[in-house]
Parts: sequence; structure tokens; C-alpha cells
Amino acid sequence: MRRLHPDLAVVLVALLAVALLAALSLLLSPARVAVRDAPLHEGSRVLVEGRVLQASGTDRGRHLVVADDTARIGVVAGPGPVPAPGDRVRVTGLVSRLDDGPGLSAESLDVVEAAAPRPLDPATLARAPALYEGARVLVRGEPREGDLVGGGARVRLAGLAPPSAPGAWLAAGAFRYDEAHAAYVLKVDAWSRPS
Amino acid sequence: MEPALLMAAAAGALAGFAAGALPGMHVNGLAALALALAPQAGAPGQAFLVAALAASPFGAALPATFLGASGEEGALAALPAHALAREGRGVEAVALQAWGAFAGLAVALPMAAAARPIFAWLGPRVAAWSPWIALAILALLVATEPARPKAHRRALPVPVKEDGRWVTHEWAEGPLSPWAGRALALLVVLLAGALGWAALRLGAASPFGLPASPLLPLLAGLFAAPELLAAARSRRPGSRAILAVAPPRGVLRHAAPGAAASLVEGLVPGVSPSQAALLTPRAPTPEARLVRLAAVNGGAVVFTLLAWHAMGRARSGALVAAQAMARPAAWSAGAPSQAILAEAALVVLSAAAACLMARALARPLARAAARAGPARWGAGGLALLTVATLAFCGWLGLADLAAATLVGLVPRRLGVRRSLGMAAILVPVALRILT
Repeated sequence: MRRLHPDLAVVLVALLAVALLAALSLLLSPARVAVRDAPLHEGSRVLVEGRVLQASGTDRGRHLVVADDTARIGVVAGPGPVPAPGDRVRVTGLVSRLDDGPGLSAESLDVVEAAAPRPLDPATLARAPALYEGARVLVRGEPREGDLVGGGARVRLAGLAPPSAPGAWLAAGAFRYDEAHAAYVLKVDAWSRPS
Repeated sequence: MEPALLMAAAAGALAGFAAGALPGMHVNGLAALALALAPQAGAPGQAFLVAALAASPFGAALPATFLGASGEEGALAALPAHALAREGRGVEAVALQAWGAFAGLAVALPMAAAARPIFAWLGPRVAAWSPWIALAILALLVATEPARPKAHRRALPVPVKEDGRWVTHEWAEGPLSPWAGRALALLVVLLAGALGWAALRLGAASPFGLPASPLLPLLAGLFAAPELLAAARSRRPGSRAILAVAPPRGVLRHAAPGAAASLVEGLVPGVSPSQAALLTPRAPTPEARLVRLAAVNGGAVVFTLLAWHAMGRARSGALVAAQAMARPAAWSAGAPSQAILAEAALVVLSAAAACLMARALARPLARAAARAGPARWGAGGLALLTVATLAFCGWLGLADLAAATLVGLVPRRLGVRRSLGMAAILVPVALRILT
């Protein structure tokens, strides 16, 4: 029997090793990580669970911002149904460097639990403002001296002026950091009475 | 500058250097640890992490030189650095990398001031370019493959007897040789690309809860392990360590193209320093090449920070953690603010301190390598890589390491460039074109 050329043997063994590794990667599911730890797994496939803060979609793909109790992360996914803000989602994907920092390039994106239209408390926003930055939120509180007050905390208001009638109101708008005020601001675009 | 910031930066430079020097550790892992321990650290925490980012390429020069192992940033520089170390010139290799990285950083600082408006304008527009850049680099790697295999069968004028058999033909170079070289390069690219896709998909998890990345076994297997295996099997006696280093010549000249290439790393998301290094023009000597590759890492620190301040984009895990601790100063127009200038000063000081640390540690390591001889040093290096892989990436990491080592042997056997192994990172990035 003719002996295999040593160079060819090395190539074939390497090919076999890669095939085995690929088979293993298809059989095993990725590790579940907290959103805060996801950037540490850059280049790896991970699974994260969290709620959607922002979501947009075109026929080219979807872009989400997902947060759990630890941090928030950007997710890009292929075209498909766009989850609503507040939905709890499970994302499996590769941790990659996206335009706005480390994020997830999603392979699969499933809604685990649909959003409940429950308003937030100003205290929730004040406790971890960075988590909600850029998100559209619905907040329940009492407008007082340019702030929305509730739960022992206050959030600075901008945009549509608050109604003059006293009591609790629901404010819908975008929550973001305002460079001019050096503070997080809720830019309100609609006010309504809680039912 | 506040003493608290200086102290934090000094600690950051030390920690960043150590994170770069320890195989398996990375400055991003250090950042996660810092964020977990002191999430409200504010400006001193930010100074700690920025200094760590600046110092880590200098620490990484040590394992790159003496083990041939490095993180993604220094994967390419590890090849010429380890080659010099095998000749007993490890001290010189570390010095060249330290000078190169520092020169790259120094050259990149004025470049960054000039590039800020370009970053602000072009940055948002090139967000989706990284897969195309990866594809272009892959095409360039294959097209410029210098190997010329003997692809032509020619009749010998006179038959010769070899091993008891008459040989009438020989293999020789010819017009098809460049194409054969490119075909072999493409084979290695596809093999390494498939390996990278599988290893990144498989991921990694540390049994001890340490920050895990499959890049450690992937790059160690592709670049370091084949060299260490060859050293471990070597019967050569150890070469004497050459501790004297000639004063640097033309460092700035060789570093400038490296610093310029690192601009791409800051501008385009998803492009790493090692990918940017593939864009640097060829250097005339291995020493100049080492300076040029190290300069990419130094320049990348500056342009990563520029993207952070001018575009608000954190391109590294360390900066993601830093901005969770305190809001970064914005640089949207005109001259940089006092805070950014102070940060630039901290970066230069941290890099200078790390440069000195690398130079100081290179001598004892070179002496130890020379004393051990190539076989024991190679076996020891392999053992260290295996232990680091197991600790940081678990048994899946070991599977990655084994497969990557086998793929890493292929370019050596086929006589093509070992840097083609970078396809393991480039192909998964390029594949995003399809999604």
C-alpha cells in the first residue's frame, strides 16, 4: 500500500479536527450569561435573557436594546417580527463589536413573555438611569417644580409641559442624558391620567 | 491633575501590564473584575481602566516573545518576536515591541487630533464596513502569498537512482507556481476560517468562573503551539541569551505606517488591531516588521480612545466598563477639553511605565529561556498554555486548542505564510455579509 504524503496527512488530520469541532459546536448549546458579562465573551456564542428597552426593524434587519438587572446591550438580528419594548426575550448570538460597542449578533431571538403595559416608577428610573437611556418609557408620578416625583425619587422633565391639575399622571416619552443639564431627563410627548 | 487620578492610573498601568503578560488574561477581563468590585468608582476608576488599556500591549510583548503566545492584539507580532527569541534575541524582540508600541502611540496622538473631524463624519457611515474590510484583507492575503511551490513535473536529463528506484522526473518551479501558492493559501484560509467559525460558535466557559474567550486557545493553537511543539522536539542545545540591545534606529519611521493602520481599528467597529496590522505595508527587515506590528497596538490605544470621545463609541470591553463608572468627556468640536488632555497625559505616562517594566522583565526571562534550552522551554510553554486554556476556557477550550494546533501546523508543512491563520478571526467577521 502506498504511504500517504506527510503534508497531505497533516492537512487531512487538521480537516478532521475542524470537522469534529464544528460538529461539537452544532450539538452543544451556548452558555447563558448576564448582560453585564456578555462583552467579556467577545467572539463567543452566548445566550442572554432580558427585557426589550428599544426595538426597531426594517426589511434588512432588526435592532434592539435589551437589559437585564445588570446592564444593557445592543442586539442586531435578521429581518423578522420586531418585539415590543417591555417584552422579555431570549437571544442566542455571537458577542461582536457593534457600532455602539460590544453587542450581540443574534442567531435566534424569541419572545419569552410579552410586555405588560405597566408604568414605571420615577424611583426605578433614578436607581439605574443608564439602563433606560434612550428608551421610550411610561412613568407614573406627580409633576412638581419641573420634575416627576414618585417612590421617594424625582426625574427631571422636558418636552411637553405637565398639566396644571394636581395628582398622579402618566408621562410617556424618551428618557435620555441631557448634556446641557448634566442630568437624565424625561422628554415627555404625552400626558394622561392613570386609569 | 488630582493625586487620586494619578494613583489610580499607576495601579491601572501595573494591572494592565500584568493582564497583558499573563497568558489567558486580557485587559477586558481585568475591566470586568474592576466593574464588579467598584461599579461606582467614578473618574479614578475610569483612569485605572484607561491606564490599563494603554499598558496592556507592553505586557503582551513578553508571552508573545518567549512563548509565541499572545492575545488577538499581538497575534501577528508573536511570530517574528518568537523567531528572534529562538535565536537568543528575546531581549531585543521585547525592546523592539516596546519601542514600536510606544512610538506608535506617540505618532498616533497628533494623528488623532487631525483625524477627529474625519472620525466624527465618517464613523457613523462606516459602521457596516467591517465584514467587507475583513473580506478585502483575506483577498489581499491570498493574492500576495509569496510561496512558490514546485508545481511543474520535468523530465530529468539523466535518470538518477534514489532509494533503489530510478527517478526520471523532478518537480520544479514554473509559471503555475504563483497560482499553486495562492491555491495553498486559500486552502489554509478556508481551513482556519472553518476552525474560527466552529470555535467561536462553540464558545468557552471557565470552570472557575474566570472571564473566558475562545480566542485564547484559537490563537495559541494557531500561532504559539506549533512553534513550541517544534522547540520541544528540538535536539539543539540552547543558544546563549543576548542581553545587549543596540540603540533603536528608525523606530519612528517604521512605526508610522503601523500607527496609521491602527486608525482603521478605531474607525470601523469589529476591526481588531491584528486585522489592522495586516493592512500595514511590508517592512524591509524582521526587526522593522516587529516595530511596525507593535506600533499598530500602540496606535490602536489612541484611536480606540478617539472613537470613545469623538463618537461616543466604546470599541473595547475596558472602555465599556470605564463608561459604566463615569461618563466619558465628549470631544465634538474644536480643541480637546482639559479632561481629555489630562487623559492623554495619563496614557503616555502609563505606556512609558509599562515600556520600562517590559524591558526590565525581558532580561530575567531571556536568561531563564537560555538556561532551560529549547526542548524544556517548549515543553514548559506548552504545559503553561494547556493549563491557562483549561483554567480560562475549560475542556471546550482544550478541544479548540488541539484543533487549532493541528491547523496551525498546516502552513508550516505547506510552506505558506503562517499569518494566514488570522483567517480564523477574519472569516467569521466576513461571514456577517451573509446575514
